[in-house]
Amino acid sequence: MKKTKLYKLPNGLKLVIHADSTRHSINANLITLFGGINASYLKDGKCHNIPSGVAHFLEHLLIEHSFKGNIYEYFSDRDVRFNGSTGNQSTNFFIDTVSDFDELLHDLIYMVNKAEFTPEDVDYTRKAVLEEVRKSDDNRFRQFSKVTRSCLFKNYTSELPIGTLRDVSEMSYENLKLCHSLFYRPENQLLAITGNVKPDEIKKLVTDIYASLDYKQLNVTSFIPDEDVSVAKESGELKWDTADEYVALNYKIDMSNYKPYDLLKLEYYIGFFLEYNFNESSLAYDEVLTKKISNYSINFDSYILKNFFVISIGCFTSDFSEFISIAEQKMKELFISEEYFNLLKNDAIIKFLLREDGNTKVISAFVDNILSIGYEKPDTIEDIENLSYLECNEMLNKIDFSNKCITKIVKEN
Amino acid sequence: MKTLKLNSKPYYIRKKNLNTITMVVIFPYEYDDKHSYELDLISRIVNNSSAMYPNERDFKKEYLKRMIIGSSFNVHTYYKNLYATFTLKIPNPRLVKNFSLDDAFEFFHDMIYKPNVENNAFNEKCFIRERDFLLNTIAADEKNIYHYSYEQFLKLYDCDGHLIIRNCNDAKLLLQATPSKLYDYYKKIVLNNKPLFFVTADTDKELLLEYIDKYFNPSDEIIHINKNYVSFQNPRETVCEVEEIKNYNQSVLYMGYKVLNMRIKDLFYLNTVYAILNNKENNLIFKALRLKKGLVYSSNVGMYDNYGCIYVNCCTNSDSKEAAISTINEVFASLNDRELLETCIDNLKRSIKVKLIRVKDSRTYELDNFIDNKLESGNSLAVELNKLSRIDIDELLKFIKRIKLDTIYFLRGDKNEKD
Repeated sequence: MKKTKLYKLPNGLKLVIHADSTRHSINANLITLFGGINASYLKDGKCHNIPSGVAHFLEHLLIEHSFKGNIYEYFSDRDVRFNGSTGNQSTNFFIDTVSDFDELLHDLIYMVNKAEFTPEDVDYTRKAVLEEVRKSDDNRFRQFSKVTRSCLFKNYTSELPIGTLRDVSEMSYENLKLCHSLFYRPENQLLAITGNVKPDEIKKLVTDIYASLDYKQLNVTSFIPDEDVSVAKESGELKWDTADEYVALNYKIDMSNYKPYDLLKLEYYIGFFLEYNFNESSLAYDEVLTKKISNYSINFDSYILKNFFVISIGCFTSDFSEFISIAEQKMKELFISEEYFNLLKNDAIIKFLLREDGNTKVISAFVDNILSIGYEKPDTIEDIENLSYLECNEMLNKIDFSNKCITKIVKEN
Repeated sequence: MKTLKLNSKPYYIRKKNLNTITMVVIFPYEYDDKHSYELDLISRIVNNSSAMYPNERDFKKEYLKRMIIGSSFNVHTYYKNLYATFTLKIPNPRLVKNFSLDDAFEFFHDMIYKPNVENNAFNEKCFIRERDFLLNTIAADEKNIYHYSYEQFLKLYDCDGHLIIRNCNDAKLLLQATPSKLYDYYKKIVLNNKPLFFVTADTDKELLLEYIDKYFNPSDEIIHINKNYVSFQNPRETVCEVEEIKNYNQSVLYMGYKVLNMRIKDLFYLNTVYAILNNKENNLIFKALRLKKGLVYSSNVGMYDNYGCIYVNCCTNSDSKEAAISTINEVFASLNDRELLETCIDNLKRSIKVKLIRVKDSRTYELDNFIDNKLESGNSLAVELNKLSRIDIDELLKFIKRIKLDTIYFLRGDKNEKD
C-alpha cells in the first residue's frame, strides 16, 4: 500500500507523509525555511543585516551541541543515517532508520528546534566551519555562482549560504541565537516522512512532540527585500587559475503571475525545451563540436529562487561570443519538435515510475512542488500524460526572456 | 593462482517488484598496465557512438526513441584481471506502453559488437574528439586541489607504478594511442572474447532468455578466469615525508600505510581495519579528527586491498598539520587495544545487521552481490557478518602490528597562511 498526503497542523507545520508498507527503513526530513537568501530582519521597524553564513553555522551548532551532545555521533552509534545541509532557501536535517523511529523522530525534532549551544560552543565549532569555507573558496563553480547571482539579482544577497571567512570569523553567539528563535518555528517548517508508517499515528506523534516545545513571542520578523525582474548587471566574470574557461547565458523570469499548477507544467515544458535544444542530441551541441568551440557537453539548468525562474546555459570554451550566439539563437527561436516533445514526455513517464525505486524520490518531488511553486498535491502520471505540445508552445511564447546576463570564468593571467 | 570457472549461459536473478530490467555483460581478460591509457578512451568512444549511430547526437537520441534508461561501458581492473563490463537498464515492459524489448536489445548488441569503426580502426573523427576531451580533463584536473594532491601523494606512495597508472591519466601516454591500436585492443578484450551474462528483473524469464539467445547467442561452455588480483606492496623502512606549497585556500594531508609481508589470508583483516576506520555511520578517524578535536571539516579513508595499502586523507588548516598527523597516528595505535577492537567489531556486526535490513529495499544489491560472489571480487554482507562473528582477535591484533606508516604528504595552501 502506498499513499502520499500533506497535512497542515494547527501549529503551522506542514507534514508530508508517504506511507509505503513495502519499505524496511523510515526516513524523516525536517526542513526549515532559513537559508543563504535570508540576509535581513526587521525589529521595531528597522532593518538589520544577518551576516552571511548564519544559517550554515547554525546547522553545525545544532548538530554538534544538541541536547544529546554531538547528535551525529549519537545517531551513528545507533546506526541511523543522518546529515544536515544548508542551501539558499532552507536548512535540512534527515534521519533514516530501520528501528525505534518514534524515539528518533523525537530526537530529530528536538535537536533542530532547541538551541542548546553556548558561546564557548560557537568558538569551538568555528574552526570546522572556517575549514569548510576554505574548501568552498577553492571551488571555482561555487565562486562562479556568486558572480552569477550578483549579476542576476539586485537585492538578494550573492553570498553563498556557507558565508565568508570574515563573517564566520566574527559570527556572534547573539546573532545565532536570534536567528534560531526567528526562523526555527513550526510555521516555518516542513517535515517529510516516508516508509512503513501509519499516517494517523505519525500525525499524533508529531503533534505531541511539537506541543512539548516552547516558542517565545518575538518582536522580530524575517525580511527579504523586493526584487524586480530586471537584472543587476548584464555581465560579470570570475578570474581563476584554470586550464579551461567557461561562459554562461543566464535568464531571469518572473513567475509571480502564474498559478501553482501552471508552474508545474511550465517546469516540465522548460525542461523539455532545454533538453531538445542543448543536450547531446541537439543541433546546438553538434554546432559546438563541428565549429570546435568546445569538446564538452553544453550545461543547462533551471531553478527557482523566490518568485523567479532562472535558466542557465553554459559551456567550457574560450570562444565566448560564438557560444553565446548559438545559445541566444536557440532561445530566440523557441522551437521544440513535436516528435522530440513526445519522446521526452514518454521519458518523463518512465522517470516518474522509477521514483518508486528510491526511498525518498517520491516524496522529494512532492516536497519540491510545495516549497518551490506552492503546489500542494503530489504530481501524477496523468499530469504528464496531459502535457501537450500545443500548450507547451503557447506557454513558452508567453515568457519574457529579455532579462538576461552573461557570466564567465576567465584565466587569471 | 586460483581459476574461476563460470558458465557462459546467462544467470537470471529474479527480484520481486522491480520496475526495470538490468542486464550486465562482462568480458573477462588478462590485463597489463601498458594498456591502461587505452581503456578510458575506448570507454568514451563506445559510450558515445556505434556503427549505426556514428555521432553522439544520433546515438543519444536512440536512448529516448527506444526508451532505454541507461547503457554503459566500464572497465574494472584487479591487478592482472580486467572485466570489460556493459550494462543495459530498461523499463519493465508491463509498465510502459509501446516499449520494445527487441529495439532495446538490438541497440545494446550493436553498442558492444558493432562499434564506430572504419577500415579496421575506430572512426578517426570520433577518436580525436574523445582523446581531446580526455586531454582537456587531464589539464583541468591539474588545477584541481583534490586531484592534484591525490596524484602527488600516489607518486610518492606507489612503489611499483600500478596504483598511479590505474588511477591517474597521463597525457603523454594518451597521445601514443591511435585508432587502429585502440581497435585492436578492443577486438582482443571484447569482440574475440567470450562474455558472462547476468540479468535481474521481475518478468518472464523465458522471454528474456529468448532475446539474449537471439542477440548474443551465448555458448554453453565454462569460461576459465585465472584469478590474479593481488600485488602486495611492502612498506618502506623509513617514512617518506614531503611537504609542498601551492596557491590554495585549504591544506591537504595524506598518510599512507602498508602492510608488512601481506598475504592473501590477510585481506579479510585489512578490510576489517578499513571498515573500523571508515564505517559510514561510526568511524574512528572522523570521530577523532572532527568530532573530538575539531581539526577538519571532513576526512576520508581509502584502501587498495589488492595492493595491501590503506590511507587517510583530510583537509585541514596548515596550523593543524602536526595535530592531525598525531591524531591519525593515535587512532592507528589505539587499534592495538583489545577491548577497543572488540567494541569496534561488535559495532561493525551491528552495522552489518542493519545494512542487511536496508538492502531489502535496494533494487541493485542482489545483482551486484551475485556478480561480486561469482567473480570473487567482494564479500556479501552475510558472509562478512559470518566472518566477523568468527574472527580471531589475536590474529587481528598481530595483523594490526604489521600495518606501517609509509608516506606522509602535505600540500600546504599558502592562501590559508594569509588568514
